[in-house]
Amino acid sequence: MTTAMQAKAAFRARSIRWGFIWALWCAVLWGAWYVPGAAIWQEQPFVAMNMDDPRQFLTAAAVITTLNAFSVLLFLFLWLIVLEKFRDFGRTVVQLRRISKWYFAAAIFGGPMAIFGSFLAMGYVGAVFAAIAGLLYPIVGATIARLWYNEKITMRAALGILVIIGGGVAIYAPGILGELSSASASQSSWIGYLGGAMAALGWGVEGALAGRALDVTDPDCGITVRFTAEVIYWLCLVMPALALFGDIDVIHLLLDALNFKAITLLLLAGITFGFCYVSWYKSFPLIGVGRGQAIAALYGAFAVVFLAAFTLQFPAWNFVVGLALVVGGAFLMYTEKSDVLEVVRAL
Amino acid sequence: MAKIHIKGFILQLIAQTDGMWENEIAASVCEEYGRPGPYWQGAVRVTLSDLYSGGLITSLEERFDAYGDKMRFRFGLSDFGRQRMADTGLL
Repeated sequence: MTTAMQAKAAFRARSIRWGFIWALWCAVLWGAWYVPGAAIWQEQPFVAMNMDDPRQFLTAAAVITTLNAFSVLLFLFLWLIVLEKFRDFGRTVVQLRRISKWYFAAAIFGGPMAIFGSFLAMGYVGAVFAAIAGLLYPIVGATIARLWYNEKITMRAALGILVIIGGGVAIYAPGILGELSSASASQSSWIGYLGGAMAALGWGVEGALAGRALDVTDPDCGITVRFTAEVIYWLCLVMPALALFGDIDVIHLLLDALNFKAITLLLLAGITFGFCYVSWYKSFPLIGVGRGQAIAALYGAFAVVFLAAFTLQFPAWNFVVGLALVVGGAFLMYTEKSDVLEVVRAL
Repeated sequence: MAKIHIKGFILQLIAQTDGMWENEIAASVCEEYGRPGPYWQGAVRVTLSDLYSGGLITSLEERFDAYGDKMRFRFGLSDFGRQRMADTGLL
């Protein structure tokens, strides 16, 4: 092999390795987000609310998601300033009709649809069901990317996606039967199942839509456009709708959340979720939406690890089985020959 | 007229030629946006790897730069890249 050929192979391998590194960072940070994401519920004003009442629970979920999106956007703006890309963000966002509309659409699916769906699943069926439903999103993302823009999903990649999801299910499996049997006794459990489907569809569709816009835009600017859109939706549509039609005073709830402890947790949530998304969007152009999403689905394992580290509640034996599966699935994809992956599309 | 975003400019630049070396692309971007220095040259290279992995541009010619210990590519727009540019109003 000539030096040039070796160097070209090394260049190719490096691009792919970076794609996997970004997706893995996404999984680590997504898992870390669960620590502030879970702790915020234990702070004022949310801790004083009656979470058994679906209206109070969903209003609290909407307020937390709004503040989370705000905090994410704050860190993304800071990120763009550090990278000297803020002006390029401006140039991207103004191309609404041709380009940024895809990010605005992605924000509907990944924001209100997936996150709210996830909370519905949590509230009406259970947290375990919500976690498993969320983990199914790479199937949706990979299928759409394959059908819509011919992304190469080889047999090996498809198998890797399924093994990772199987591992995620194994991690959360013990609680699911209890949740499903108690949910079947309730008449409103269908709302929770609908929420689970919204989560899997929402994140899957978001990746596929964003993948299209990422073809022609910078990932750092793209993700910031997507979160700008999400903040607009929550602040200009959902919050006013809740204030007008809901029976809970959301304005007071929002103001009461601006206390030291809640703000600290929201900033931690923003920094982890924000950079998880930055990494997610950076991985898509390099390894494709299907692979990027599947590796990011390792967050299921990282969430358990981070929560165990902070709460000292250690997972049961099934976690080891699940972990072995998710790591095995990731290796299955990573060890795919780089000539297959040179270009992530079948053109 | 307001400038277009950098990745769009890179695509338009390549579309106007029958292939361009990456250092020429980096130099044009740095000059157009008034951002000289190695940081922006590196940023352009990262963008080019994105475009290459996505199949929007193809490598027409390669040479090994022993001095920089790096591969240098001459990139051209692919048919898919041309179609994607048309879809997004860049052509």
